[in-house]
Amino acid sequence: MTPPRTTPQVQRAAIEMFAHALVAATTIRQLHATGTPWVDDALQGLIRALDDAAHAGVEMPLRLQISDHCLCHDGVPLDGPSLQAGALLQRCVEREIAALAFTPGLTIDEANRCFDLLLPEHNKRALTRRHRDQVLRAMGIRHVAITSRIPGDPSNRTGSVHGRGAMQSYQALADCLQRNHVRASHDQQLTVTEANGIVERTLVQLEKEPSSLLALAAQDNIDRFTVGHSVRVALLALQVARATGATHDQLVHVGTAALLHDIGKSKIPEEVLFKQGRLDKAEWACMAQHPRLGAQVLIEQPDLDASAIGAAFCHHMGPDGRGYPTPALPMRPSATSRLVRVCDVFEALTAVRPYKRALTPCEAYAVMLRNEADFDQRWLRRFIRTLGVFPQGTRLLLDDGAHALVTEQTDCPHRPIVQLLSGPGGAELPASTPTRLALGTAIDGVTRKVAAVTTHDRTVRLPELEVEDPQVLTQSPQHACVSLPIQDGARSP
Amino acid sequence: MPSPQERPPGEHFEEAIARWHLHVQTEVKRSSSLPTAMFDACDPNLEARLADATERIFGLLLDHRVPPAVAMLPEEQLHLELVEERELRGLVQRLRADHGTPPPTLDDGLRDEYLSVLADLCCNGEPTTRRDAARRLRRDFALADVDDLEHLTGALTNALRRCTTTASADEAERIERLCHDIARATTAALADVAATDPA
Repeated sequence: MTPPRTTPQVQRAAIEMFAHALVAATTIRQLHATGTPWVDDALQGLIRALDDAAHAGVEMPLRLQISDHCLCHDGVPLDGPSLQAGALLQRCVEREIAALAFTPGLTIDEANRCFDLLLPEHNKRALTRRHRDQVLRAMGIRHVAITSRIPGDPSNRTGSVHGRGAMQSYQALADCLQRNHVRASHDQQLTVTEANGIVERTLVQLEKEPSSLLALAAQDNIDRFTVGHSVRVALLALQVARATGATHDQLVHVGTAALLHDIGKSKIPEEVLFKQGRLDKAEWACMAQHPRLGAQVLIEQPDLDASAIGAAFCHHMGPDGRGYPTPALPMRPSATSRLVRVCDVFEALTAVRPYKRALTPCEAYAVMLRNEADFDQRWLRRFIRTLGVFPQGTRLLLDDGAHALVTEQTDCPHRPIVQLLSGPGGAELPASTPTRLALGTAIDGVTRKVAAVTTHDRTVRLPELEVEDPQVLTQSPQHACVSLPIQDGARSP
Repeated sequence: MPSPQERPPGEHFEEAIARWHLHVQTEVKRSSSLPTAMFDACDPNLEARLADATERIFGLLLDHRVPPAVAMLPEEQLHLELVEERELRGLVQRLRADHGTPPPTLDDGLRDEYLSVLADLCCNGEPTTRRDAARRLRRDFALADVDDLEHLTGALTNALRRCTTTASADEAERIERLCHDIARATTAALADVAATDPA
């Protein structure tokens, strides 16, 4: 049967889904033994994604190129799947692999044998450049082909659109966390010094390119062991803590604490952890153990700072200690734990889960502000001021019907700088129109306001958010709200 | 072949879009009152432009699709927190409340939290955890003397007093008893450590 004609977007989506499935299968294979249901499910997912791609008309074999820091297809970086592909990329680079090509007909056994060659540290030599094809044939791998790297080939260094540094930092955080979850689930010592070092490097990267790193976080969809969630929580905590003028050591401690706050989930059975749907009473009781289990894991690490142990234990407690677990001694969480909690809940509310849709950031703020006892209000408000009522990357519908993307925050948390994506009513923008503007600022006598926030599946209409005296919202009395029109950089003289 | 409105069971969203796309392209020509030849003569690129516009619309749909790695439950089982308009309206106003208030210091409450977590793990942890928690107590709270029940009870009680703003006399007594019990469990763990780890 001839595959149906599909659009390039459909094909691109199918390729991304396959790359996601490959990365997920790599993670599961590192964690579980061959033949376990988890591995079989992951490999089935890989095979299904390959068939879907073929069905969508993607050229077969489906060839994924391996650059130093990114998976690519046809030279185009696949940013989303690459975020957690650090281990796969590293193994491929060590084995001088330039591309992996997959043909439909791949079986679970064959995929398993392929991972046996690709993943173990000790197997680096099995796939030597000269004997590669013979090894694959001997192993009965007929639906995966390997292309060798040509040293010095510029395609080896294809970068992500978000910048190589940001991608590397994110991959390092995700890899480190993934490794530590695997180690914790196997009762092995964690790599705490490495985690601290990676958080330090992330801080340097946040100084250089904060927007790239945070934009990458929004693309991470793989949630095995809540890796994507924890990395995002760490990035949020670092961003907020940086804005308060915390010292370098404090930042490293809070970053590590946020990164490892859910490590206790590595001790929760996967059928509970990944259950789609409501947990029953017994499952909930099991899940509620993860903060104490996390503290148990972390306490075994001799070099770990106390704040990480506290955050793992207390991140489901309100500022007055209510929540879970119930400690032997009534307690009040530290400021670090209270910040991690704010970041944790915000991330969970704004993320898609199998059982819920994502809230927009302003909806999440409204939910979090409902009950003052749930969060440290000083941290929560500092958090909103730092991220903005409309954080970077939020898509807005303006009151004249134009669509815009938030690109930058100002001192006014509800008046960011936006990039116009379309004119009024969705019309194309005339070439002479400035495309970068500060909301709430009059340009040619017109002040644009936010009418709605749009997401992939919803348009959330917003009421008037303005206050009588907007100056009271500025970060400091010296910095009043911006009131000058901002010219489009590309078109300014 | 099913009509574009009928989605066969199990058909993937993207396959359906591809099928609708083909259907729309066909319909563009078929539904025109112009004969095909006229259609082409009027504007040879009309069909191509209409097809392009359709592709762009579908492309936008795909750009905003639900992330692929998240397999969603059926629509009716999805949970969406409802946020009222008044809550959104009050959002910016509520930010005024702490205008000028300095943010908390990250180290605030760290030592008390640490002591409480260690005490909890000495009481509720697995045997190995109890030993690890006791080791940290000895090292980080200078509790080398394993018999120092009084010292530990005092430290726990002080930590707890810092956490509670008001405590009646009854409550204070209850707290002290609780701290004493925890301290007893903790000193047992400390003694266990001292036996295996005299340094």
